[in-house]
Amino acid sequence: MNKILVFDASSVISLATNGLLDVLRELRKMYKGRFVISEVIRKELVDVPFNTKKYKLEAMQVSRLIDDGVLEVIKVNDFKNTLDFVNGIFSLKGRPMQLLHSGEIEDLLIYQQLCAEGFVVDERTMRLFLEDISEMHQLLERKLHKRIDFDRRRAKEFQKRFTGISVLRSCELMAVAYEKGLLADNFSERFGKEEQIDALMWGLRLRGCAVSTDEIDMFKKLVKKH
Amino acid sequence: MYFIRYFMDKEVRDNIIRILDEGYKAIQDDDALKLRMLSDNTIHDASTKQDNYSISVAVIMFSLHKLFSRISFRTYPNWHMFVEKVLGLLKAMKISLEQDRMKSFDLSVKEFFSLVDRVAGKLKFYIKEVIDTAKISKGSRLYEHGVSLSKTADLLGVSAYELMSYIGKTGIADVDAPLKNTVRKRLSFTRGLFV
Repeated sequence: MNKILVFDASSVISLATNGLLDVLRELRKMYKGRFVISEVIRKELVDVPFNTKKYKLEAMQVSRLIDDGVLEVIKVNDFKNTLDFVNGIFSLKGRPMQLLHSGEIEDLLIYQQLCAEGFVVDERTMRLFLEDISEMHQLLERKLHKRIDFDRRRAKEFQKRFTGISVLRSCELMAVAYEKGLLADNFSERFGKEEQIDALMWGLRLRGCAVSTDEIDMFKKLVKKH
Repeated sequence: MYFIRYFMDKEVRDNIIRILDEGYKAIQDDDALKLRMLSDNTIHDASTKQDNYSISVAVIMFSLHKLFSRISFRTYPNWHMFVEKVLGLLKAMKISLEQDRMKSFDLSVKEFFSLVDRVAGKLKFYIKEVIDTAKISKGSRLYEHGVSLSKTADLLGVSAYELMSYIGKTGIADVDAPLKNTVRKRLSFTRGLFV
């Protein structure tokens, strides 16, 4: 296992839209390892929003992190077979459901190739694939009200191939940053720890991090005052 | 969002023809609610098959629902011309599909999304806003149905930033089943990374 964290687009977006990229920069120094993203994820984080006015500033800020080496971009070859393989796990009437994107698959392959120790993902689908693929199956059937074919052999092979991937979210990263005092300048001392954690977690949640209200309540109890 | 593929599943095609037909009638009957129902109906197909045509038609129906819900739009001088053009395009899309002319269908879809460029005045701004919002709104439904964030953004041609901001304001994070991995376990793992 190497001192490497792989980031999905969703986790970087949650931090960028909350103005927390500087905290990520400080966390990277403290980590004494590498923070990496795939080339497709870089495009999603920088190139696509750069052409819009709404998120151009965030794109510029993420680009600066890349320029400074805080986020390292890794190129992956031959992700197509894995993408087709993973997107073949669920199908409807014999037609594979294309649930995951090439960027997410590239991240998985980077994790594997570099023997990383953590995968930072804020969005739900990728996390369910890695942590509870049967639940993913149930979710699809529940949401689509249709019988979804589940290729168990393929799912087993996927789990075997990507076993032991440790998933975390931007909210756990920021909770640790808080405990380390990296967010001290962001909060008024007039508010207590619980209010500060509440503000932090709801900020992340409202900008897309998949963290439930119950989980936010847990964070308020578990996170220690710096 | 709309791109040339020139192949469509028969089931999808029949459904889109029905949606376009009912959408045409809904506009004539001034039934904005029906347009929304048609959009919801189509996004279901889009989730299961990630079919770009269904996604485009769902966005078109949702945009029309929003536009026809606002009575004030009808006072704009270009409104009637806009409605006539929309009706013409929906008819053209339907005929193209019935005759299996996919290229022509694709062109009509593109024309709908570029219609905004040919509308003058304030209406242009509103229509653009409605179409952009419709894409994000329909995207959040795809995500809710299990399609990943990046895949959804890619399918709809929107930025993942916009999609995340919208998703964050919905209740999706609370409604869906909690993950097995508890906060305690994940937090403890993360603390371990920074010792």
